[in-house]
Amino acid sequence: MPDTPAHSEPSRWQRIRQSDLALSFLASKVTVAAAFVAVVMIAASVGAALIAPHNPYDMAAIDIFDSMLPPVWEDGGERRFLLGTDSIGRDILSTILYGSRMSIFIGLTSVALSLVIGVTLGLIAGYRGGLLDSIIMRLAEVQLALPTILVALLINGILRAVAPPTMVNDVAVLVLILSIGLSNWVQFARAVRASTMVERGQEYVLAVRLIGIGPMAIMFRHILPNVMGPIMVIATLNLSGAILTEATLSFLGVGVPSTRPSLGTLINVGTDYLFSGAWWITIFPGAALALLVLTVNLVGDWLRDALNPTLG
Amino acid sequence: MSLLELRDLKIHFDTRRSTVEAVRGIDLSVERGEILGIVGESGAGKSTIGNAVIGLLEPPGRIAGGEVWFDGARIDTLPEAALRRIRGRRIGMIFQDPMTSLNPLFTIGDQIAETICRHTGQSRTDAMKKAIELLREVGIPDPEARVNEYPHQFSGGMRQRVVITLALCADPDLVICDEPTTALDVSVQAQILALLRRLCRDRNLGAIFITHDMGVISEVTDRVAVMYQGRVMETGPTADVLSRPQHAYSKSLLAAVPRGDLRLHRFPQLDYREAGETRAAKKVIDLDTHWLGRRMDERVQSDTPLIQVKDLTMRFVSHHSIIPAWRRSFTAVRDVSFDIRRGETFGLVGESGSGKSTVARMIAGLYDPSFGRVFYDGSEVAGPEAQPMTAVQRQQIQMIFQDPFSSLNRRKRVGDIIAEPIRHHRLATDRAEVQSIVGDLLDHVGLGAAAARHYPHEFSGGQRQRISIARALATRPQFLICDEPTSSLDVSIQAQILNLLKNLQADLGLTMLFISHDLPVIRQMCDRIGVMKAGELVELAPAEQLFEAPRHAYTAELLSLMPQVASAPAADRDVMP
Repeated sequence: MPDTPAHSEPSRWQRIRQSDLALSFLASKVTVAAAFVAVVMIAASVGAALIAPHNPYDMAAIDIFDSMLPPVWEDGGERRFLLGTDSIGRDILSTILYGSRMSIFIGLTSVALSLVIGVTLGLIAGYRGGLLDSIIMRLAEVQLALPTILVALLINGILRAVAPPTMVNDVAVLVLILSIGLSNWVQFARAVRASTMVERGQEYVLAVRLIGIGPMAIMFRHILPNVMGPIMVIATLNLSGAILTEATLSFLGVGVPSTRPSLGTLINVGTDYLFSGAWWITIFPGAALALLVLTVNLVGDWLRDALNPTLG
Repeated sequence: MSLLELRDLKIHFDTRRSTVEAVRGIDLSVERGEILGIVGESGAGKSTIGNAVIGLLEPPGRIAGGEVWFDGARIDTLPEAALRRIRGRRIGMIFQDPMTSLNPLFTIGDQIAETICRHTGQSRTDAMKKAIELLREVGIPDPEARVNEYPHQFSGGMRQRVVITLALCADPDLVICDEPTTALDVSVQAQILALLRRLCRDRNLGAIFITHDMGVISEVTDRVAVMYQGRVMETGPTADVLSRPQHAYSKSLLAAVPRGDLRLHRFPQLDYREAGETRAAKKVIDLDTHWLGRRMDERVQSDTPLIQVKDLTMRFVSHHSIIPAWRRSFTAVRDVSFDIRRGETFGLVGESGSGKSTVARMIAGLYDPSFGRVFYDGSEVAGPEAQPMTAVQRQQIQMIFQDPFSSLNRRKRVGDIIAEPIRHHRLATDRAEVQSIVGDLLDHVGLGAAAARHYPHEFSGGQRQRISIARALATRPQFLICDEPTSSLDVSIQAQILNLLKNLQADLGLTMLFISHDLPVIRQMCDRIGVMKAGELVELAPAEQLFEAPRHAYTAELLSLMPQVASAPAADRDVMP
């Protein structure tokens, strides 16, 4: 024992460091490395405006004469553009940083949207049961039958038809968030419903019912904290899925415009030049996307194992 | 040479942070034809010993020292392959839960015959014949037909008989029974205990009987070892240890066992603690000044019973369908009527599935009865003409649940759990007052105000049950429903909780509905008792009359099955160590 007085309670930080979750995290070297890489990438993209050597959004600063420059270690590369430039002279490194910011933003918000929808519907279905449960779960099954990409294309098509043509580029991000968010809520709803049905019969729920607390407060204040474990796992695993879906949609051309590119847009733009020798335009954003998705997934996998008591 | 001998056995569990010494050097022996009881409270290391003897210690558990000798040979150093030849064949094992110790995918006959073939090398036909013979011996009717049935077609007691058959089918010399009757109803328990005793006699088996139940120890064992925190406190012939316990811990354990033959005012407070919390001095609550006594004017003094239950019936739907004729339901409670008078403790007793808890939950308003009415203080709270419960009524009916591990929200601090009803009903004016009330309630249940900052998992089962009681008191209830409040607790903890409930009732003038399957506990707590069987109330009588002169045959049967601790004179037990 350290020489602290016997009565002093461990600080919050000490408790976190000594928790089983923290110990299990530190014991898994792969997870530590993955988390480190993911955090660095997310931090770099959030701070893109500070770190990036150029501003790819600033059309005035882009010089068409700098276009298609290779990475610095190739013949013809310049020190100013570490990873080379694209067809209109934007610095690839800077566009990746800004692009992953866009990708991560869309990923996080769409996961948050599906989490809110899924958790709410799942709680109601699990707690209320009966007809409401049947309706919500049949809805979920219908949703499951439709592939995410198709739903996204549908929502995209509708929104683009409805929105005035001048605003199409502005609503593009919203379209992505809505379409990804609306097609991924089912997993959350199913997990929450199953846990809620277990929690509903627990005696602590009966006890708060006896106090006279209403069903909404019971669901969100008492049951929700107890079912959050699996939700966080699904959210982490879905984050990488959402980033990939965003990239796919942007690659298909229904995503964000190439003036404010995400990683998917960059890959899409780059593929046109892949066979003309300018491989760096698509390979570097592709590698960044792969690394981001891989590390987030590794952390999610670890979280799933660590929070599952039935796996040793 | 004893059949089994443990010499200075030590068992350690290595965890990430430290080593837990589960068994700290014990010496025990079992002779042929002798039943040795190992008794103690949870965490004493009883089951660990049983598992260690047959080499079934789960990692990280390991034998850290000492020797295990079986029939003249040392077995704790044997390799796994050699142990496997002893386990099952020469040492049989009977576990607590008959629901999980049989494989649900194989028939009873297959499981027994496989074990026989494996251990004795008999042909399958012979093994099947022997299986039938053994099933007949353990009292399973029509064994020829039942060998082809699956475990789920057997009741709990019958399943435990099959588990016993499995343990005996290779003619072992020693049987280790780990809480073999804990999961069973009292009437089934009596049959299983008699069966085990007869089998051990007939076959001249040695047996180790691990249990927390003094009544079981008293009925079955020849010798008993009392364990506490990994050590044997006392060992000797069962009758001697039970009637004249020598060690302070044995005395405190025996004093805490509820007696079926006599009603005590309070359980004697014999505490044996080597380490642990100190008990807060009991404070008497002065209702005129105390928070819990405020709003006493809401309590109308009248002669109508506080609770009136009329023809209560509950049907659960077992098969849903749109077409009414296809729906199936089963009746959990049928035409139950009784009154609970102000200030009394009304007991409901019965075996599992008799509908006790369902009745309690209908009174509390958690279930809507299919038929019948419940009146609280003269107004209908459940039934065809019931109004929704008012906030005041809601506050006045509170409940304490059976399972201390699921009755507290594991994500909330104890302080918030208890403050919840106070905040919801706005029983306090500001945050500081809420905190002082919570602290005060925790003091009264013997935990101390500091407990408010902690989470439920930091407390033991008994302490959690105290938290539940504090939460129930926080609405200033008038009527408290206790649904098996102590059945998952150790006897010494049970005695403390029951005393606490009695004290609170005396101080606060509570009316209580007390539900238990345990007759001695019911006798200690209740003024009037209702006996339930298969959803019906078969007898209702004052406590003493029910125990001394039961009128219904079922009551008499329950009473006769109650395990009796070969009792010491009451005077002996009240002596402080």
